[in-house]
Order: sequence, then structure tokens, then C-alpha cells
Amino acid sequence: MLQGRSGVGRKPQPSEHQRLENSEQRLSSMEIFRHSRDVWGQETLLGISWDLLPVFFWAGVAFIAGHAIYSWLTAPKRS
Amino acid sequence: MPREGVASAPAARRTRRLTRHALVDRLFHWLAGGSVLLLLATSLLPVLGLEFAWVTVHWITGLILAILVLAHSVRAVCYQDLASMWISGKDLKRGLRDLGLGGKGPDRAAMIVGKYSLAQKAIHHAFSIVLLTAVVTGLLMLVRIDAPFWNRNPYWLSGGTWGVIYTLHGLASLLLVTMIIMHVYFALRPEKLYLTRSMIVGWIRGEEYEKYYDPSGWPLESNRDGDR
Repeated sequence: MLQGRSGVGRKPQPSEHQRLENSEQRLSSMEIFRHSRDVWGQETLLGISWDLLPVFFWAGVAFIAGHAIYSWLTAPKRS
Repeated sequence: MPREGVASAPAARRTRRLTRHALVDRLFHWLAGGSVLLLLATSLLPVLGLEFAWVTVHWITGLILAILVLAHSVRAVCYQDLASMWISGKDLKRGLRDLGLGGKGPDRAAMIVGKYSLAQKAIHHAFSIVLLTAVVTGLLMLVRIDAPFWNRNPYWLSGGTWGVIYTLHGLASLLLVTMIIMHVYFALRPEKLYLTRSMIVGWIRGEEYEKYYDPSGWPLESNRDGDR
């Protein structure tokens, strides 16, 4: 409780600028493929990156939202 | 006062049950759907941090899905009307009208040209391509695991080729996540609930047939699954 009030021992919170910078770094570092090095040190393709899972999930959600809005806007008006 | 037989004839036509999906097709749909969900759960939950022994369940379910897809393909080619899944010029025109690109805005009263709408045919073909990719690459990947009937051979193909196979398998699984979300959304939309019901019980009502379908595109006489 005391620690919480005085701020002693509290983890320093990143500023808004730092948070934006971190999220940009995450986006720019998002891999499309997974790689490894073989016994000769050559880069080998392992598969698609699982970082893309949220992208495909949210693409589906975005489609639903877009279609629902489109259907609502173009629905015949009830008189 | 109208005679009973005369008065009830139109009502009977509206409430009659018309077979849309035979039992074998409904079984395929739900078994394939369940298999895909189990395959996605056993492959993606470990990615999300839920660790468990997933490999055995995954490859056995994959084999079941491969058998289901093969059986469905044989039935579609040999016993069903393949043309009912063909995307025609009429389908495209109707699709453009639905999108409001036909010059007069979306025409929701227009009839569906055949048994299946353009959107249904498109999602079926998309599922076909993605599932076939997942199944074929998955069958190849079986070479890399020990199973009761064979021993693993990870050197059967080069590392780069395995990388391509794993990439296609992973891409198919990610695409399935998006496509299943879309498929379930449309199945639950109020105006499509009669189609979801038909995938459960097999039939649509006569009034739904008359409201949504152009009889020249899906004549009941040509409905191989019969007209109850």
C-alpha cells in the first residue's frame, strides 16, 4: 500500500511517445516467415510466422464489421 | 365459405418441406467442420502458449479430414450435379447487383439464380483450395513423424522444400481462421438462418424457395435429392 502511494518500487511507466515507438517497432519487426540456420550456416525456411495469427483473426473481424455496416446502410428503409 | 381443400392448397405449398441437403452431405459438412476446428485448436493453441501433446490428435484428425474430402469429391463428381457449383455469367451479374454496381443499387429482391448464390459458390471454392492445400501438405508432413504404419524420414525432401510445404500448411491454417469467422457470421445472419437450418435438418420451406430462388435456375424436378 505504502509503496503504491509513494511510488517507491513501482515500475516506471513508458511515456505515450515510447509506447508508440514500441508498437511501431513491433509492427516493423513482424516476420512473415520463420527461418533457422542449417548445419552449414545457411538460412533455411521453416514456415509461416505465427506472428500473423492476430492479423488473420482481426481481418475476419474487420470483414464482419464492414459487412454489417454496409448491410445496415443499404437496408431498405421501413416506412 | 371456401372449400377446405381449395383454401389449404396454397398454405400447404408454402409450408411443404423441400430437401436442400441430403443426410450424407450434412454429415460431411459437420464432420469436416468439426475436424477443421479440432485441427486448428491442436495446432494454434500451442502457438498461443497452451502446451499439450497435440501431434497425435492432429495427424489422426488430419487423416480423417483427408478421407472426408476424398469421399466428398467422389460423391460430387459421380453422384451430384457439378454444374450447380459452376460460377456463371448470371451469377456474376447478380453479384454485381448485390454490391450496388448494377446501376440501380443493391437489389435484395432479386432471385438467386441457381441452388447456390455467388457468395456461397465463392466461399465453397475458397474452402476447397485452402483445405486441399492443408490436406496435401499435411499428408506430406506425415513422413516426418513416427506412426504405427511407417517410420519417420525427415530427409525424404530437402530442407528448403520442407520449408515451402510447412509455409503452405501454415498459411492454409491462418486463412482458415479468417474464413471460418466469415462463414459463421453469414450462417448466423437473420436472413440466412433458413440456410443454416437446412444444413442441420436438410430442408427449406416452400415459401422460402418461392421467395429466394428462380425456379429456372434450381428447378425442383432436377433436384436429385428429391422433393419431400
